[in-house]
This record gives sequence, C-alpha cells and structure tokens, in this order.
Amino acid sequence: MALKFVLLVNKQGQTRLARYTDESLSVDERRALEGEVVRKCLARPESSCSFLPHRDYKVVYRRYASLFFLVGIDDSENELATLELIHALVETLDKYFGNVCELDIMFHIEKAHYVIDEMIMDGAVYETNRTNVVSPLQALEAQIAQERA
Amino acid sequence: MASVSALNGGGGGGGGGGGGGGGGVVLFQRSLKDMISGLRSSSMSSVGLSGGNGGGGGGSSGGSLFGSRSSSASSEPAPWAQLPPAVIKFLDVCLSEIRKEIRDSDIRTKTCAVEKLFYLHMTGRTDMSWAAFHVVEVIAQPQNAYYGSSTSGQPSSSQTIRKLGWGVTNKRIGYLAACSSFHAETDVMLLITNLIKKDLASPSVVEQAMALDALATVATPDLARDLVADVFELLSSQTSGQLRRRAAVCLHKLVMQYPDALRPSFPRLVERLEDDDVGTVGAVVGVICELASSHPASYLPLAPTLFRLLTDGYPNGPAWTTIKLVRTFATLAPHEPRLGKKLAPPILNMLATTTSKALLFDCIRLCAIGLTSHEDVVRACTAALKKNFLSAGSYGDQNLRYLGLSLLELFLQHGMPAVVVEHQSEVLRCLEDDTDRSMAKRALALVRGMTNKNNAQQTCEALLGRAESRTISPDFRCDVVNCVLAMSSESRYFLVDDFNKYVTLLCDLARVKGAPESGEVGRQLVDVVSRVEACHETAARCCLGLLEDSRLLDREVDSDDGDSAAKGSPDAAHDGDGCDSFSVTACGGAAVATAAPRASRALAGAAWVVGEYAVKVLSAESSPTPAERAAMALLQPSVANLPASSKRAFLNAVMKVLAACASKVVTKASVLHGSASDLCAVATLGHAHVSAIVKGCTDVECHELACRIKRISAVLLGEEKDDGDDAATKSDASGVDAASRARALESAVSSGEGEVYALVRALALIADAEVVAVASRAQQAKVTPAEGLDISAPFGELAELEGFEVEEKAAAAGELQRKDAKQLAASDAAHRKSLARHRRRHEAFYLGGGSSGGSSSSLDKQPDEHQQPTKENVAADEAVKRSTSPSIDWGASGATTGDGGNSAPSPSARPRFDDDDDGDGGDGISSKDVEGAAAAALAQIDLSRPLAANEQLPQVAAYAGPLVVSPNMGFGGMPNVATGGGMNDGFGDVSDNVDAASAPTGEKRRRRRKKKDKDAAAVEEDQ
Repeated sequence: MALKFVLLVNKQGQTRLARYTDESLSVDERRALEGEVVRKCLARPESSCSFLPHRDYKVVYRRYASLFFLVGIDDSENELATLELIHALVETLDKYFGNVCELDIMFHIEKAHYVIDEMIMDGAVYETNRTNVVSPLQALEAQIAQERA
Repeated sequence: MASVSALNGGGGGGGGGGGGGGGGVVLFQRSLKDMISGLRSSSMSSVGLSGGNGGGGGGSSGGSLFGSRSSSASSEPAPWAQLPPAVIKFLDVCLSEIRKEIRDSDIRTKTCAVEKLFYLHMTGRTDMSWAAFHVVEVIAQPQNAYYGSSTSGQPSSSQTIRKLGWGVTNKRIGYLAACSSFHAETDVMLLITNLIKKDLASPSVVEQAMALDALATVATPDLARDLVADVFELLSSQTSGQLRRRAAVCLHKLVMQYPDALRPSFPRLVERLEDDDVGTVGAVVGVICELASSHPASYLPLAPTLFRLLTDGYPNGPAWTTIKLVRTFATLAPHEPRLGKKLAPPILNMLATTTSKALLFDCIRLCAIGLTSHEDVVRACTAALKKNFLSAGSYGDQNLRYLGLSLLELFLQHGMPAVVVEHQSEVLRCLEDDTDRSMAKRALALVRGMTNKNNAQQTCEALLGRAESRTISPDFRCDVVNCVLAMSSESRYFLVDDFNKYVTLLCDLARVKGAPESGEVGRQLVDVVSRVEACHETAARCCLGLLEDSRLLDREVDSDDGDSAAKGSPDAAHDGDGCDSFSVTACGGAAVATAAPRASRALAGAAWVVGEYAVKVLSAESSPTPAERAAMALLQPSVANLPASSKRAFLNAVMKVLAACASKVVTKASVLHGSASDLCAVATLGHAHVSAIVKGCTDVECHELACRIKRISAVLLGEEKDDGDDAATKSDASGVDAASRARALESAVSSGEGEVYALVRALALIADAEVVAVASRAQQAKVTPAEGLDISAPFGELAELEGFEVEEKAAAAGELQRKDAKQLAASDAAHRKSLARHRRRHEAFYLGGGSSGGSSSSLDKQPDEHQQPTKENVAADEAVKRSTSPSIDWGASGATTGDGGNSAPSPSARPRFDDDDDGDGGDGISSKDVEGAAAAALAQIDLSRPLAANEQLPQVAAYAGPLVVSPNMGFGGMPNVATGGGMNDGFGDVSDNVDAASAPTGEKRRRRRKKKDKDAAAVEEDQ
C-alpha cells in the first residue's frame, strides 16, 4: 500500500536492510535507488527537513548514529506519521535487541526482518506498539530455544 | 548449522569455516555470520591499513543507534563504487559454495545456503532468482518430523510453538527469501499455491501468519484467485486478532490482483470495523482508505460507520487509525457536500485537543480538501497551522515548516489563497532559509500564488531584498528575480498599482548582482514606460541613474585585455566582489571583450528610456543638465564593453538626445527659441567619445550610427573637417571655449538659414516623432473606407438578388430535374447581370479591386471571356461523343457565364490560370491574337444561347492548331479552375465534368451545371 520500501543504509552507503513492497524493481534498480537516495541524504545539511522527493517516492528519512532509516512512501501517506513510524521501529529494535547497534542488524538480519514483518505488511502499518511486536517474537524464540536444548 | 552456535559469540571473526569438503558432502558450512564477517574483513584488507578504524566496519557501527552521532569518515567503500577485488573474490567463493550447498540433501544445509543467498540478494550483491526452486524446497520441507503427532481441534499458539523447532525456523527463512526475490514472472509461482494453501490451513498461528505475510507480498492474479477464499476464512478467524488484521491487509492485496473478489468479500471486511481488536479495526480502516482513494464515490455508504468510529471510539485510539480515518474522509468529502457539515464538529474538536502533529496535519489537510466552505473550521485550521507548523515557536523544526508550506500549497490548489495570505510573513521568512533549498523553492511557489493587488508591493520588495542578499545561492537568486518579473507582468501588469514604484523596482532588479540574463528587465522597462505616461519622469531619472552606475557596464569584463586601457574604468575593484568573472576571448588580435556585462540588455532598455524621455521630462535646472548627464552616461568609455545590439541602443539614444536638445533650440514658431548650450555640450561629447565606443566593434550598424553622430556633431560645432578627437577634446576641456561654441551655434541658428540651421531644424523634427505604444490592430481603424462603400451594408443582400433567389428556391425544393436549355440560359443571363450589379455596388470587396475598371468591362467582353480556355479539356473523342448526344445538357453559355462571372472579379488573383492555358487564353486575347474576320465571327456568337444539337461554333484561326491534351486534364484535372469554379464540382458526375474542345474546330466549350454557378457566387460572396 502506501509504504513502498524500508531501507537501513549506513552512511557509507552500504545497505544493511532492505524491504521492498514495490516488486517491480530489479536488483540493479534497487541498488541504484539506494545509492541515489543515500547520496542525496548525505548531501543535505543536517538542518534540512526529513522529507525528500525522489523519483515518484516521497522519502522520509531519519538518521540514527551511523544508520539512515529511509522509508519510501507515496502520496497517500502522512509524512509525520511515517517519521513516527521510523522512530517506533528503532525503539522496537532497541527493545528487541537491547541497545541495538548497526552490528546487531547486520548479523541478525533475519530477526530485523521479522520485527518489520510484525509492524508492516504489504506497505500497510498495522502494529506500532512495541510490546505487541516484540512479545510474540520473543515467545517464539524462547520456545524454539527450549526445544533445541 | 553447527557452526552457527560455535561462532555465535564472535563479532569480527575472520573467514569462518572452511569451504565444502570433498565428495559433495558439506562438512563445515560457512554460516551467514561467517559470510558477513568474511565480507567485512576482505573489504577492509583491500582498502589497506590506512583506514585505521579497527575491526568495526565504520567507526560507529559498534555503538548504539541512540548514541552520539559519529562523524568519522569510514574506510569502507560505498556499494556504488567498484567492489574491491578481494571482495569479489570472496563473493565468488561464497557463491560457488552456496551453489553446492543449496543442492545438499540436508535441509539445514540447504536453508543456510538460502539464507546466505538472501543476504547477498538483499544487499544487492547478486540476484537470487535462479534459486527460486530451492526456496520453494525450503518452504515445503516436511514438518511432521518436528511436529510430532498433530493435535485435534484448534491448538493454542503455545502448544503449537512447543511442537515447532527447526521446521518453523527454516520455513520462516524460506518465506523471507521468497518475499524478497519472487515476482510475477518467477516460474515456480505455480508451485507455491499449494504450499501457501496448506500453511494458511495450518494449525499453527505462526505458520498461518507467515503464509499471509508472504502471500501479501508475492500475490499474483492466479495466486489471488486460488487463495482468496482461504484468506477470506481467516478474516473471521476466532483464534487471534493478529491473524484477522493480517488477513485484512492480505485481502486488500488479493483484491488488487483479482478485482472480482472484492464484491463478495467486502461485507465481511466492513464487519471487521466492529472488531474487538483495535489492530484489526486499524488494518481494515487502512484497507478501506486505500480502496476509497481509487473510487471514492462507491465508498460513500460507509461514511456513517466511519464517522461513528471517528467520533466514538477513536479520539483516544491509536493515532495511526485516526489518521487513516481522517484521510478516508478527505477522499470522501469532495464527493458528498453534506459530509462537511457532519465533519466540522469532530474536526474542530480534534484541532483543539490533539497533541499529535501528524493527526493535526491530516485534519488541516482534510479542511483544505473538503471543508473550505466552513469558515469556522478554516479559521481554526489557520490558527493551528500558524501555531504548530509555521510559527516562531516551531521555527527550528524544519519538518513542521516544510509540512506547513505543503498544507498552504494545498489551500492554494483548492482556491483558498486567502489562507496563504494570512501566513504571508511566515512564508516570506521561509524564503530566507539558506540551508534547505527545497523549502525556499516551495515558499517561492507559494509567494507566486498568494500575491494579490494588496500585498504585491510588499512582496516584491521582500523578494528584491532576498535577491540582493549575499548568502543566497545563485540559481535561487535567478528564480527569485524571474518570479518578480513574471508575477508583475502577469495579465498586463494587473498586480502593479504604482508604476513609478515598479519602474524603480525594475531598475533595482537590473542592479542585482548575479541576476539572470536581463532581457526581460529591459523589455519590461520599454514596455511599461512607453505605455504609462505618468511614470516617464521617474523612469527617466531611474534609468539615467542606472546608466551612470558604471559598475553595471564593467563588472563582467576581464581587464587583462588591450581594450581595458581604452575603457579606463576606475572601479576594477568591483570585479572582485562575488560576481562571476568571464574569460575574455580576443578574436584575431583585435581587442574585443566578448564577455558582455550581464545587465547589457536591461541597459539597452534603459538607454532607450533615457534617449526618449530624459531631456523632455527632467528639469533642466540642475547643474549638469539632464542632456549633459544623459550624453555622458551614454557615451562613457565602458559602453564599448557592451554587445553590438545594446551598443546600437546606446548610439540611437545619443542621437535622440541630440534631437531633443535641438528641439529646444528651434521650434516651429520661432527661429531661436532657447539656449544652444545643451546641444553644444552633447555634440561636443558625441564628437569626442563616440569613436572610442565603437572601436574594435565588428558590427557595421554601430559604426554607421557612430559615424552619423560624429558627422552631425562636427557640423553643429562648426568643424567642417573631421580632424580627429583632439580639437573636440580640447574644446571640451576649456569651459570658455564651450560657451563660445554655444554662442556661435546660436548665432548660426538665429540667422535662419544655412547648413547648421537646416540641420538643427531637421533634428528638431526628429524629436517630434515620439514613439507611442500602438495596438497591433489599431492602424486598421485608421484606413478610410473607399468612396461609395457602405461598410455597414450586409453581404446578405446578394442572396436577395433575383437570380440567386430563383435558384435557391429551386435548390430548396430539391428540384433535381434539369431545366431545359432555354430556361437555363435565361437564368444565367440574369445571374450574370446580377453579378455585375453586385460588383458595381460592392466594388471594394472584390479582390481585383485595383483593376476594377478593366474587370468590370471584361464582363462586357464576353466573347473573349468565353473563349478563355480552361484545363477542363479532354480528348477529342469525348467531344465527338458529346456533340452527338444532345440529351446531355451542355449549357455552354451558362457555363461560360459562370466562369465569366468568376474570372471577372479577380483576373489578377489567378495569373497562373492564363499561363496554364494553351498559351492564348486570357483577357488580352481580343486585342492581340484575334483579328479581322475571325474576331468578327467570334463577336457574332451569342454565347447566352445554347448550341443546337449539331451546330458548331465557327472555327477561328487562333484556335485552329492541333489540339493539345495535357496529361493532367481529365476527370480530376481541374485544380487550376478551383479558384473560380470550386473544387467540389470536379468530383461530381463524371460525364458532367468532361469538358472538351470540339475536335474539328478547336473551340473550347464548357458546360457546367447550374449548381456550379451558385457555388461560384457563394465563393464570390465569401471573398
């Protein structure tokens, strides 16, 4: 629906996490898009606003430490709400990983994806409560760990 | 996967486990973590040791995301850069391992390979579409081994989870990979239908959720058709709200892919708006919002339900859901006017109480889109907009200001510029944002839209101030200047109230450093000043000031050229202050500065204004008189820097200043009217400096003008011999000399005769011819109508003339039968007469009006006219056939009359007509070619009488030659007649169109239908 992609890119331009709803993009196009957007973000001074029109998307971005959280939305989405979503995502990751850092996301990429899956589905946000997102994931993990042991 | 746990603690790590062992059995598999670490270390080592960032890939990647921002530049290469060879090598190794592992029979090995491949795919390092089948394998792995015995009924989620294990972990990874790599063209799509179907029906909520997630991402029309029923079932699942909300979102995707599914499933979807689970309600609202955006009118019946949600449940509910509700209403409101009245109270309430800026944004957006007719809401929105988005309080928050501007844009789009005007000062303040260019651009667009007659002056001044600021970026400065110019000149300067101020503004714009190419300023200067008399004085003064501002002439010119000595400008310092310096190209050794001042075209306009008005309107009391000032400004040495087009304007202006001065010396009434000191001073200046201006100039017109000025000046100053600048400069230098020259000039003029007097008189005459703005069509009214022409007489009279009347009636009655020849002849004669009468009466409307006498007399010279051959000739056998078939109505005279009538008014309008004939046609034929008996014989023919069946016209010598049949004669071969006869006739009855010269005599006869005459008359009338 309204969210077209979620990207976590560090400021060297390396993609740490990419989630697209827009299936039409090929791997090369995605890579090009990520490069362009990050370059644009880096070129903007810190005082400029968090909304960046790029191609057909409105890119809402926010920087946390070395990571840019970028969300591409279309016209039907509220920019401020998207900005709040980004913050909710970061807080959820923080709660889930415990003081999250770039390395956590790098080495537990599938877990980061599961967190996003719990919040966003086909570009629609349907859960923004941290606890509601994290608790089923943690319960599942606990069960699996128990079983493995 | 054993290595996962073995290396679990390791962060940096090296290459990880070894590659696959021999014999196809993977002994030590590289895990995802190993691969990531390996990638990092290989990229690190390839960059070299200079990075100095230690083990972390980037200085801050080890720190918390909430920690302080690190600004250290990392050594890791960007992905868009070429990957270093070490990384490529490592990737190759990994990929070849993955290819091997993914075919392994052990499901865990396979899953791990898919996971690694997924990572590489996600980061853009490879395309994993080749592995789609293996992904399906991972999804489809048997679960029973891990489930144990399936429990009956609905298991609780904890029970299910207890029975999971590796199965669910692997399946998750499989679905994750599928979500990111499958698309509509993936060939294994058919295989996953059943897999997803099975998982949707799984007893495990986790698996159901996974399947829904995956389906919502990869759905194709086929998948949607096959699975929509299963998802529809889950929509009312009692197990978990999680499932219901997922099902709602998934259903939207399926409906998008397979629209037929919408109608049956929609009622159940709407039912979910009353769900106990707030998340489900939110998801359904989101879905409805999305659906409504494409067909708003169809979703209007939902408005009461949604309205209840908005008022009852959700001011305190999740903001996300409320935002979606407000958005939905924003799409619905324009389609139902009554909705506005209902919405006003809750929206007012939300505006007053909510703390969420995002919700506030959407409320104001709704107001702009659908509630503009509710004044109280608009007022509240305006206040909220100022307070929360644009005000000084949130000045630091760029995001809010940006959104505030976009809301204002929305108001502007929906015809509410008044709202924008209320935020005028905030918008103008946003213009000053140097850090965020997109913000300033938005603000500029708003300024353009909000400006009205009341605030135009203030806005333009603010924009000018912005353009003059030093911090502004060059291209935005251009935008600002262009905006002022375009805005003011819109709708014939509708916004401009005080043209005096506007002219001053234009001159200020011309002065703006780094302003865009200034043609528009010059154009508007001339345009405004020539039209508005009230601003002549201001304009003359401002433009004079502009010309005297020698910075403008110098600033772009490099001073390293040989020409710079001639220009001798004192202010080279100005070159350095921020203006772009252009390189100067000297052509062929000649000292030519080609980099023209940017304001050159504005200056050309100013020069015109000065030349036209300065001497006339400015008070001559001041010490250097306006004429002297103008001449000095126009003749300053740096004018040489201007391009030829502007130079011409300057030289012309000098000429006009001379003329204006001359007109003060002599008038029509008196020989010596006033002092000649101005004229003398201008002439002296012109004589002295004009050569320097055109020195090195390649434009011949400039030289011509300069020459003229010099010569006139020389005559005025009494220097018959053009002996260079020396004498003039000398005379200029000594004031006494100048005064005496003026006296000499005065005495020369007062004598009332002689060369000098004549010249001054002539110049004075030039000055009288003032340029005024004239509408392009104004001259048309000044043409005096020809004598005897009654312009107000309607053309319609023609139709009332008898011949036309008869025929028109006949035509109206649908009378298709042919009149007998006599009747036809009579009517044609009448027609001819009526045409002649008409022509006499409306002479001026005939195109051939210049030769009116000749053409009207040509009507009388019927014989010649009739024999005028046309191209409608066909072969002789046609003619023979015709002559033996009396039943065909040839109506020769009728036809000729028609043609005569046609050709008479416009003989000059179709000169080719004659050329294309056999060489002897045309009006002149009677006097030249035909003589004696032949002429007499011809004269005897009564062409108004139709030929009898076997009668032949007498043979005439002039026509006796062999018949020439031109190849383009024939049925379609009549384009040249089109002017007279009307093209349409050429495509009527074929036999009717066959006009032939009669073979034995070579005579040309023509026959036309009656209708043709009428058409001809109609053409005449049009003309």
